[in-house]
Amino acid sequence: MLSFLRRQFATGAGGRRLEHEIREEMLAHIALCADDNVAAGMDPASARRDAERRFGNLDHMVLEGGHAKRDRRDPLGQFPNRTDRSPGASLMTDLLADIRFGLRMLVKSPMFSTVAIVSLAVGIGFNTTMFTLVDALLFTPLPAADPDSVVRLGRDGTEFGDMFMSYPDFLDVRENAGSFTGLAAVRTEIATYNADGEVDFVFGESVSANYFGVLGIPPLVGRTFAPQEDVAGNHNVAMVSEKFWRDRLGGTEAALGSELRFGGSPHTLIGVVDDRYTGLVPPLEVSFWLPTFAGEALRPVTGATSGLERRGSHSFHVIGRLGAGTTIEQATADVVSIGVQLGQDFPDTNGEMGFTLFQASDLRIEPGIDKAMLPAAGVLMGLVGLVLLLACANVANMMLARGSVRRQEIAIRLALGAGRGRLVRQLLTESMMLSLIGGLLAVVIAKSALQLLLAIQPPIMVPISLAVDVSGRVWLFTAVVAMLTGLAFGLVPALRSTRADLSQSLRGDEAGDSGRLRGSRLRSSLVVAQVTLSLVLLVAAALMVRSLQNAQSIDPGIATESVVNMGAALAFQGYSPDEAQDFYLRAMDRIAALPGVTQVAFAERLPLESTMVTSRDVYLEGQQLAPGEDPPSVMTTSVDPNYFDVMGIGIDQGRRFTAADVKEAPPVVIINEVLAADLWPGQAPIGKRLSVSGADGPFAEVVGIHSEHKVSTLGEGPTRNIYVPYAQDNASGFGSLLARTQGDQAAVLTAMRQILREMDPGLAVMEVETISEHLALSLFPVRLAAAALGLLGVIGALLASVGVYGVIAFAVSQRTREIGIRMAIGADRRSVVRMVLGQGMRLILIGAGIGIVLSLASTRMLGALLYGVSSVDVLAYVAAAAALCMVGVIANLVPALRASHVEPSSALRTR
Amino acid sequence: MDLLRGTLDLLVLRTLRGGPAHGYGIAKAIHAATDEVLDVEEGSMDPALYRMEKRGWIVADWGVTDTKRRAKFYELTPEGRTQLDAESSSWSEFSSAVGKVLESN
Repeated sequence: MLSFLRRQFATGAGGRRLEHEIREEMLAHIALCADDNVAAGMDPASARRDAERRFGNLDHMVLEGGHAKRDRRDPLGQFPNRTDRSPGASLMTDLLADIRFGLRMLVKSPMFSTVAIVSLAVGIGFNTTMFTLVDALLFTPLPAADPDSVVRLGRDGTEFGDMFMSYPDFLDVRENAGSFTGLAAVRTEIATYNADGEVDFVFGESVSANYFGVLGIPPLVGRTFAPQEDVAGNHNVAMVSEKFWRDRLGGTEAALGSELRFGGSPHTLIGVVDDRYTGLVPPLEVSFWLPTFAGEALRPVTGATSGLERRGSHSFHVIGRLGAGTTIEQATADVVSIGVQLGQDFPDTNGEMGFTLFQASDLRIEPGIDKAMLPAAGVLMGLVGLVLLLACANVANMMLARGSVRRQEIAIRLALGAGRGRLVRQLLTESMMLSLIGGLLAVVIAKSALQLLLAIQPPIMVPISLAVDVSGRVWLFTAVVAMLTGLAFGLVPALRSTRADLSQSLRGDEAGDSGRLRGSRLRSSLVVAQVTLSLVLLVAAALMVRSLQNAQSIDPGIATESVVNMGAALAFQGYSPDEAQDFYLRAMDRIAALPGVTQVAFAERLPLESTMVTSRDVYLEGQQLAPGEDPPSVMTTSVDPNYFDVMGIGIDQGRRFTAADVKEAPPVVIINEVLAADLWPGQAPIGKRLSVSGADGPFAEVVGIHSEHKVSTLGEGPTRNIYVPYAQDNASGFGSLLARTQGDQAAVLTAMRQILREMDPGLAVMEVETISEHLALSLFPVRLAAAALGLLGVIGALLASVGVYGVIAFAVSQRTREIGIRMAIGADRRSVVRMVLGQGMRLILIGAGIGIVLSLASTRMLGALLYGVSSVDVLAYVAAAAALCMVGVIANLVPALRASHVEPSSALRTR
Repeated sequence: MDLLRGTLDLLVLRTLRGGPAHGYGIAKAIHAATDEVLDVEEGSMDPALYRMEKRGWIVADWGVTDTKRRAKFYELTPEGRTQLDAESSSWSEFSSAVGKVLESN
């Protein structure tokens, strides 16, 4: 042990002495040179300067003396044995030196740095963008104070609506549970908002008075609800969101106390909610809050009792805050036992169901949906990950090529005694700097990409908002990705270029270096991988484009020309179903009289309407369902007699509805062929009877079979469908007014809107559109997917072509001599071009081949977005491969042509 | 003209055969002997000298120059002389081989 220490000591001292000597000698050297300069007639000062300049790169380490800046004297790691520094300080100062040196290297080859940084910025930028979206959607916690103690109450033993509770259940849990300092209820509401005659729909939440208290969100301005404001009959206070307050109320405190008309009745503004909280369930953005009883008053009346009194009506989310020292397990036991008790007390509604608790931070929307969204997010992250891999491969390739160029520099440093580890560290610092600069740019790219993305509000009335700020988490993600990226593309080149065979490299002898061959093989594999990945992206993009084409040419089976639609959700606006029916019929009379309108019709909902689903259970007369068997659920729409004419839907058998099919007349339905074949296979359906109003009827007679049309989505196959006469079934209170027009559709729509406005100034109109606009909405998802995948595919192909170009150009520069010899012994230009092209195209074809196999395996995930296109669509594959090969030829042609212009004589003379 | 890296040792050893010299002097001598074609960058001379000293081809001692500067003077060792002979003959072989290729057309 002692001898070991002594040896260490000796080395240390020896190292210091050696260093000192070298410094002395260099100083002497400079002095001598300066003397010569003076002798040649320079003045002493410039003589000294010139001598120092000629001494070159190592100058500061000598000139700055032995004490103060000692550590800066070893920027290149020439003296690995120095022991006069603590390891930590040495790491830190080495790092600083590496960064300075790296910066110099980056500036020295601006072309390389720019291409590398831009590739990385694009690759990382895509990932940052996607992560920001996924993060906002899935991982942004509720902006509550002390979020860890916030829990959400859910139901056990139900398949759907896990997180929805009835109001009476909520009250009972709040009454009996001892584990919480507070339990609060919240429910999404929709209401008309009437500002001086301008009426539109806004989303809000009705909350128990303690809601914001339990969340720990103080009001931005004003106050929150008081308990005595959340009782039946007291409906006159409201809070609004910060955005609503600023955009619509001027954003001043003077707005407090003003009257806001939600759902037709006045509410006094008492407070403003900070924009950090925009609703419990993302990404729906809500604008106002009312106490629960006031919120209930906004809803359509659907029964004899208020929804707040019905134990079977599950519409509230319940959040709670755990008491100090209470664990979630204790609280869960607490609510479970209350659930058991309620099950005994109310077996009809609660018998089959128990309660459970979730940590609020573990939930985004609800367990079932969260489970479905995570894989979707994974697929998206995977796609942008591919682009980053492409960028990595590019930069790794360029680093490898540069590694060969810098081989001599590195060999000299190794010869001078620099440790390999030290050199690898320095090369890695260079790649890290590239990727970190790329990462910084990536955040800039992501910010503008997000702005673009958010500008694409899907054409639906639901306001979507995501907290897509570039948060700390996003910065962290980007930094980690950038570091991993730097490691991914930097490590292998760094290891490889420091393994150079010393003597050969020093002599500048490349030909005998077996590492070169290995290096070119690695670079070729990288290019093959790039081609493979970008082909996968291109195939996905081509499939989406084909799908979009197909979707646009799908015959929806309804009239798309000359028909306009205006929707009014009267059920949300205080109308009873009968009042709504009366309103619609009067409106239709007036619309029919408009110039340019040839026919009017009514439908409860339009085909391909995505926002409202109206399926009903279908029962057959005399049919006994086996225990546990569910009746078929079929889309059911009530329409008036003109509907089939106006929408261009034919009647294949039987008759359409007539004015005689009134409430008092026997009930009738019109169904489609698919349903008929399901219900009565092989029998004539006309005259058969079914019920959409429960197992006990009334049973309606099938009077007609309508021609096929798309019911819910454009991509669906034949789908079962039922129409009932509006005169016999007006329960929903929703409606679309349809008009067949001649001439200017916009003028008709304006006039229709005017008529509704005159009939009820407080009315909000939901949709005002032509039927082709209505259809465009159902194409939105596939359009978006085609655009996104197309962008990814193009960027991927560009990155891959840069990679191919780099590798081939480098190979050509390395083979200049060989090509010169070939041309000297008689090869003509064409055969040189062919040879170089062949080399590059071989890589591309191999990559394309693997890419096709990978695509076949992976594009199946696109299934749901593909309209009438198989995921093995030949045309898409051929198009993608052809596009890639074309880009490949161009990337190859430039170096190939350059090679063909090699002058044999000068090529032989180099080196 | 840039100096081929591997030949620096050879040139230094050859210069020292004429007698001891300091690093700067060696560089100047090479510059002059090649009709100012080869210019040894001063910064690479000292590491090269250090390396050759460590291999035992040359030895060094501090002395004083004509201009009364303190400088380190280098001298060829017997090992250095052997090395010089070996490198000289392999260089001649190499350069005549290159010459043959160049003249063959």
